[in-house]
Amino acid sequence: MNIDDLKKSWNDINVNDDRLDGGRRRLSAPGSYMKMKSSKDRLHATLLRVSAVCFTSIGFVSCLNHVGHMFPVGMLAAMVVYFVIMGVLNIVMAGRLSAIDLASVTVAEALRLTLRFRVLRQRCKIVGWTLCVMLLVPMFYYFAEMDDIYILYGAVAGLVVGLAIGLWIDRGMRRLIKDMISDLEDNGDDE
Amino acid sequence: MNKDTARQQQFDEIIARYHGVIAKVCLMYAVDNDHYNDLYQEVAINLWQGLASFEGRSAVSTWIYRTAINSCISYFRRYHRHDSEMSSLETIVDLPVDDIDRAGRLREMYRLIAGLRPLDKALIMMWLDELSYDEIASVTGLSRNNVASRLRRIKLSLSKQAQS
Repeated sequence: MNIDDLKKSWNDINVNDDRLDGGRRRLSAPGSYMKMKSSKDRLHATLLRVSAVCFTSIGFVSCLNHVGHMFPVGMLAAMVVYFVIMGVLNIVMAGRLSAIDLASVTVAEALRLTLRFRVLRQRCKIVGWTLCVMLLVPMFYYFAEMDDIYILYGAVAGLVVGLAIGLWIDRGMRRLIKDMISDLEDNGDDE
Repeated sequence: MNKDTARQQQFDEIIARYHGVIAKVCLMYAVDNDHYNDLYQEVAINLWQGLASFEGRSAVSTWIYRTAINSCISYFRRYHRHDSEMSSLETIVDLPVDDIDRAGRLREMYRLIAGLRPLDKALIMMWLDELSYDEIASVTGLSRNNVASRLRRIKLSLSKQAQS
């Protein structure tokens, strides 16, 4: 197959996406594109919403404990720290996402920014799940009215299991992204 | 005519004029028909949002390519396949009916390009659409030499894959 020969043929073909129910058809209502949100806008809104839920939860948990004295102080402090960390991480991710301007950056830059955002998101998920397991395991022991020492064991076990799973997931992702970034930084030396 | 109406009119003209370019880019990055429609919509929204800040420092076609490719490679949604497969090429594009051989080669080329990495896919697509090396360099942010050497490698690899 000679690709140079096929170039003209490629240019002569017309895409007729009406047969696919037409991407353009969704935009046929006048001004419809003004009301629509891009996947980036939707994700940005979701991250801010999650962050708001985290900060609201701090107040909620504190009030609940003030009324019912459900948790020991240490556990309450751990929950507050968890929600603060998650709230801040979601705000950081939203900020990083809004800095990506797809209409003005080059393709290499967009790819680089997108990959870095995906790495950040993946790591935030790992931190979130690890902390969550760390918090839930001792909580489980506490509600089962076990001895205090088991709460500590539970927290350590939660940390180890959560981190092990997180790092295992991260390893594959890191390798893939490293390959893609090294491809982007390849300067074509063989020219 | 107020500013918004003028912008809307400009946007409609862009979509009408560059529909083919947008469709080809989306087609290359889509995994199935629904994904294609989602990508097309995503590109249109990003073009609309970027139109206000587009200052005409680059050609409109360069800006369209850049926004379309960027929108497709960074689609911020996990996509779950709805259909089993993307529609075959002949259902979407008008392939030459008088030359079965050429249609077959085009179909094969589309299949091979669809399997390339995102940046390589963008490079070969723009080259096929007869953009100059300088234009491709401006869209991608790579140097002209880098574009030339990458394209040579991609074409060689495509030819090898087609032969094997």
